[in-house]
Amino acid sequence: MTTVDTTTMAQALNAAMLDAMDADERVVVFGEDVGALGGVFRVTDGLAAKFGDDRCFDTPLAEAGIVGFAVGMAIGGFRPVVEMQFDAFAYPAFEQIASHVAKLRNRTRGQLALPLVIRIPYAGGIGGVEHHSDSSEAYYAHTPGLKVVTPATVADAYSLLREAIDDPDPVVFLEPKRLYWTKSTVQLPVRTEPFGRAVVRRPGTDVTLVAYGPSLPVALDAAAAAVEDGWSVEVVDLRTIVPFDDDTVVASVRRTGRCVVVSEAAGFAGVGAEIAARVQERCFHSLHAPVLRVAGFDIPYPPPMLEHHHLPSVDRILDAFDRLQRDDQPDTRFLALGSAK
Amino acid sequence: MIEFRLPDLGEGLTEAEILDWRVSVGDVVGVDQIVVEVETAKAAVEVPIPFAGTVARLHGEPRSVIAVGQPLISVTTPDEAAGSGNVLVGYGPGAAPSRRRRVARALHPAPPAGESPGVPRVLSPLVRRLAATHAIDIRALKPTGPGDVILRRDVEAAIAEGADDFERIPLQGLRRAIADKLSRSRREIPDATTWVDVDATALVQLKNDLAESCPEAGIGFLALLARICVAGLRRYPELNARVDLDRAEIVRFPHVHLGYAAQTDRGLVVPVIHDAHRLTLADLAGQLRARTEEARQGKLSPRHLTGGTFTLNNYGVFGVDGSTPIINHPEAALLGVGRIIDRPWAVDGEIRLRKITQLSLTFDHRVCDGAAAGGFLRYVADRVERPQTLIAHL
Amino acid sequence: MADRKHDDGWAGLLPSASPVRFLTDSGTPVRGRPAYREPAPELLRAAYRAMVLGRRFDTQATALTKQGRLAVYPSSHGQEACQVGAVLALDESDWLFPTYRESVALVTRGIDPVEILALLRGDAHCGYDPRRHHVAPQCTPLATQTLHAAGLAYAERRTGSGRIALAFAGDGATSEGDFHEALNFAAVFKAPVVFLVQNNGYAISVPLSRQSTAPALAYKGIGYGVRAEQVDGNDPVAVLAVLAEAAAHARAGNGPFLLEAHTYRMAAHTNADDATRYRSDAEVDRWRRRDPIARLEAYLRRRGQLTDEDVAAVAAEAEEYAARLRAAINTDPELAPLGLFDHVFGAPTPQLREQHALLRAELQAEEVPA
Repeated sequence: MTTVDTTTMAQALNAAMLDAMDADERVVVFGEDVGALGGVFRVTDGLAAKFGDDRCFDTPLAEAGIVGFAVGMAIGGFRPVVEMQFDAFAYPAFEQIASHVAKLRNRTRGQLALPLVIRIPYAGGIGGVEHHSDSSEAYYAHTPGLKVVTPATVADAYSLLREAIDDPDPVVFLEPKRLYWTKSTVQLPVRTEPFGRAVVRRPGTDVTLVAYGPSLPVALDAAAAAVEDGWSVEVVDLRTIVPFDDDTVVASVRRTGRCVVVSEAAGFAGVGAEIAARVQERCFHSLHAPVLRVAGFDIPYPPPMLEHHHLPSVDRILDAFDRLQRDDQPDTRFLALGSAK
Repeated sequence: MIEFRLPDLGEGLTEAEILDWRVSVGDVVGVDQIVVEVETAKAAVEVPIPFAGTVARLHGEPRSVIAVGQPLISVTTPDEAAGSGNVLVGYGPGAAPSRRRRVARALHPAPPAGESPGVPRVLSPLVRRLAATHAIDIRALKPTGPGDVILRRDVEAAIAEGADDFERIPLQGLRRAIADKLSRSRREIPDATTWVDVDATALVQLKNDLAESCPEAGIGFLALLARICVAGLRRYPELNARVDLDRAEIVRFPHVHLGYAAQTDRGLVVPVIHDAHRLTLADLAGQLRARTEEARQGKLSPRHLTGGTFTLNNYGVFGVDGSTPIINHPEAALLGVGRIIDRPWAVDGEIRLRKITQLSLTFDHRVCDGAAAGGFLRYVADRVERPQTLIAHL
Repeated sequence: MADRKHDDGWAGLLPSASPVRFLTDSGTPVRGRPAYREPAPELLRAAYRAMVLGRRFDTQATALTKQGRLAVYPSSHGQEACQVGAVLALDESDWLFPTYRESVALVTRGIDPVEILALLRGDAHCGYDPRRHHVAPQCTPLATQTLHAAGLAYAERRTGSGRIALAFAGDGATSEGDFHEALNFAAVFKAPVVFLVQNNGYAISVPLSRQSTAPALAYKGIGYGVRAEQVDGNDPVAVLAVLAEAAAHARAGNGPFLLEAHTYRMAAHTNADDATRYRSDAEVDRWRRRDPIARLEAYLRRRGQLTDEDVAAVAAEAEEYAARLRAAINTDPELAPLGLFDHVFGAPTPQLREQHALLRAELQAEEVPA
């Protein structure tokens, strides 16, 4: 069904599942509260009513159970699209994800493929109490065998979820929960760029700002604010962490000569660190300045009243731009490191 | 949308009758604002709403009865209006500031200089490569960046200095202007040089005689040469010209503005004596003195630096004989005069020591052929050797 | 009193066939005596007061959330008998392992309400000192605290302190793997822990019928060899009676006890939930008629153990409590952003010190007027 409408990201995800279920009766949606309630964020709203209890259903409260059950159903010919209610509540399922979802194709030399999708609302910025704002993407990105996808726009939410459901490989589909209510006028159904393709959301000439998921809005805000300081910022939206689009990112950094990666997850050993290492290695000879990261602190996610100190802000990104060695000014942050105390 | 249900207003109330709405659909209400007056079994009670928002619906007309726990009034909250929706577990997404708040930068302390072992610090891989490409040894550079970081300008300076120890004098200012003019002359003018040795004994004698008889005139060798050149140019006007390429014409001047080379502290200067063809020998000498003094003091006016039609260059003061002079573009000819020294010369069939000098004429071969040039040079040479012939055409 | 069920071997581990109750829905005594000792009148009066106070706290917290002073509040309205019973049946030094819905239990324990609400207000993950109150931080991930309770209880047994632990869990939480592991560990290690399952019929929107097909959740005990019982969770007399027995069982070294209390979540999952999507008003009304406070009040009044003056006094006390809470919550908390780097480890790493310095510099830069 084609509609042109002002749609929220949650509605676009809902439409993607509806269209996918329409197109293929093997697609089933299950998890906690996805049935009658329609999901705590209303992303599965109306699916149970339209397709019945066999296609969209609630499960007992057990995340390992949900994922393990999905593995079995996928082997049995279904295409499960399961929901973990929140990022931190997916952890009980991690063994199933790491040991089985990620490895089954490999262990069986392709005999048992798992075309399943694990949808997880993630990241913060919603004023949520603890365990509701985790950025857990690094755990999945670091587990070979999982595709890790994270839309940042309404159109991508629809398109990437459709593609995830069609993909023969398991996909961890990370939905930036703070963007659930962002609106856009889109014509659905829509197909945007496929997996493995990052997109330049804002062209620029001086610095490449790489972002994904919940950080795209703050990256765009920072790019707009930086005009005042004389920076022309190019913003790249990764869209899929695995598979990673080296080409687009590298082409951009080779043009600009400078790169800042923004990610709200704790910086140490985060996805931002992988991106920075890849850029440094591939673009070394084009770099005017070190590749920088603007990330969350290495602390457990703070209580709601303090989260804004932790999350990458426009100010913090602009401060990173100040370190990009314009006008032959070296970045001095770490020069004193290692000298006599 | 939030529904506010009729609360238990006290003492086991089960229902209430709506007496009077205090708000209408579309009104914005604040927390604890009285929205309705209801009547219970006991009394009329004003009911406050515990949240803020915009009234969406009133669930009952006045005089209708609402049971406790039934919807009383519905409002849309500001959250929803902004599109954030209710969040199950938190305050909801706040509006993050999207412009810079901080004015002051958080600066990092400058690290102590002079303590950087290991690989020399260079601003960026690009700059390091720049140095390598130009075979600059970065270990030999003096870094000017904080923390002993070698900056791009340090490398560029080293490149500019080069790895040699030549003395380099900048080509700028007057020196640059002269260089450009000389280059242009050679580039544009197909010049040829012809020269002749002359016996200047008579001219030297004349100079001495004039010095004795008319000392106030101050007529020197250069003035005499200048007067002879002027006479020569009257006889051979082809050489008092220039080539106008734009109009494809040779322009011959009716006047002689005579330039002459003067060496000053600031370099070679060519003062111009306008209308030299109208001046007597004494006048010429006077002009030469005046212009030369002005040149030495750097006070020559633009008029006396421009407009020349022919140039005379007495480089004999340097102790040399001949040269291939460079025409003073856009003129067509330049006469150079070397030193006057005693040389053996044939006089009346015998070798005598005479005052010999060499005259070199460089001319633009486009304005005339060898006959004219040679004619001019011979003419000048004859006047130098027998100055008394000047009087015939005085 | 002899614990005759315990003497019957494994059959003695099984719960009663129907939930134990002392009171009818209207608060009159049931026919026949349940096999548990009725709590003393003083305890029942104390329970009444605590329940009224707890409900007033709950209502006030709900109102504060609607006013935006709290980020979220999961109400335990209707579950007061369990909330209060769990605390009054235990000693003050026994450990409690609450979930996010146990605020009223924590109020009953005597923790400052502002400290209790810090988690839900959002200024701290846990506002009270767990060691001081022997109450673990309120736990949001489900059933994970049941394992903690089992381990703590085992430690208490090892040290011979005589203390026991009580873990709260909901019907949904009994589906989590950790619940299974906790019961098993507690049984194998004979940990003195009471698992109080408040079966309020829903895990957010998922009804019990979708959660389990066990004849009652109490029957989960037998699988681990754990003694279990089921009780009318809205009958405060029954709840206190059975919990007393459960605590004694554990304290006597007989290992864990699983108690399923049948109750009902009168409000939605939180203020942001819309319960009309998955349950009917008729069902809610049915449970409203089994209100625990009303039933206890009726029971005590009938026995002359509660007078009008008592009721009025308790109500007034509750109002005062609510007013103090309002005033306290309506004052903005003091926030210390630089404290984010404390307590990540015992002592901060060099990287954390560096990040602390960065944030400090940012905050100082912000203080400079433009």
